[in-house]
Amino acid sequence: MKWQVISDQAVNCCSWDDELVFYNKLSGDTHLLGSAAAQVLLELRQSPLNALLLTEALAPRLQADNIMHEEFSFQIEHLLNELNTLGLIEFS
Amino acid sequence: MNVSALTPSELKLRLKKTGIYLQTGSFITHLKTTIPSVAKGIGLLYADYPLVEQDGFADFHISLVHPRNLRRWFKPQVLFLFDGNTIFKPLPLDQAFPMLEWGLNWCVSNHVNHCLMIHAAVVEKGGYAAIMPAPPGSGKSTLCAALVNRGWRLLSDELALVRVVDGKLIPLPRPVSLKNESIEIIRRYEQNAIFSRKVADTIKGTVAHMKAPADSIARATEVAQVAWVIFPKYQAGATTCLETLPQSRAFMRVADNSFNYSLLGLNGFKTMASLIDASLCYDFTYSKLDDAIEIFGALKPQPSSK
Repeated sequence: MKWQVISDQAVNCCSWDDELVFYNKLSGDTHLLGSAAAQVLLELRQSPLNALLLTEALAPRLQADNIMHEEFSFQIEHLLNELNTLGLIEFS
Repeated sequence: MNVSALTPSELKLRLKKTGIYLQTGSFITHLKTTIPSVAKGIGLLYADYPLVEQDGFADFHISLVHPRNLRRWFKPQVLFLFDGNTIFKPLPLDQAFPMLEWGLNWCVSNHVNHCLMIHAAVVEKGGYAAIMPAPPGSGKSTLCAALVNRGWRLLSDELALVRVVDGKLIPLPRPVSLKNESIEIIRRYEQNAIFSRKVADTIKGTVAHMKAPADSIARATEVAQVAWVIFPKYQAGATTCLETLPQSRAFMRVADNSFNYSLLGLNGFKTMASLIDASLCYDFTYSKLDDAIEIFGALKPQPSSK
């Protein structure tokens, strides 16, 4: 199952440094996303990915040396669920 | 013709009979009242403001009146009417002029939705404006009053109006509202400043209003370009400190201080994004006004700012 950014949302964001401010046109809410969540969204904006491929794509940039792959994978899954709850991403 | 062209008795009579059409920045207010303290406050603090002669159109039609009950004689009160309707609970008559000022703020903050409105003071110098959003009690108006007495132009001490179409700041220079200790602090800081009478026991404590500088009033139609978003905080005894704030964090905090960000929807987001993009953002802690003025004097805009 692949995740994608809800298409209509894609244009409604701004990034400064490594953070992203995202406007959800459907809910009218504005979200401040930290570096990791911002990277997930930016990656999914390029192309829909499943959690496994997304984890592999982000690991070189985001996985800390002292974190096991399973734990990093869990963190990405958690972020995907949060972004889904916020109505920013969906299954493609 | 400015308000100062009328004698006190002419102003009082006109306020009572036909009302005046008072221009404050981009807005025209039709004001009627029989209350002497309001006429006196207008004569003192709005002397340099234009009166629009052709009666008819006004953005806001307001009047300050006595309630039609026993309170006319016993512990008298004042009512603020907008389009003939009561907006607020009556206040003691002594608070009539502050009520006018609060009412005028209400008129703008509830009706001007072609702008993103932020609860903030705005000052400008050299073509670049600083927006200072802050909750009550942060020292925003005190700092604003000090700055406009040291060469900065007053756009507003209360409402930043960011035009949605181009992100420019619309001036609304009106009297600066000061409360409690701030009144004497600014009196001592600038002895030529003109103040309304102090009114005690209001919901905000003791309040007084400082007249806006004549130059700011004369330039009230000249829009400004934002260069800085600065969150001021007065802290007794603190060393003056200007600390860079990430723009993303500033975005969220300015949105929290906006009256109509959510109402404007995507336009609000885009306007806010452009505003933050054009701004250097800071947290600013101060305790001494002279130090604060010096720090503001050294502010530099982003190299890309126009």
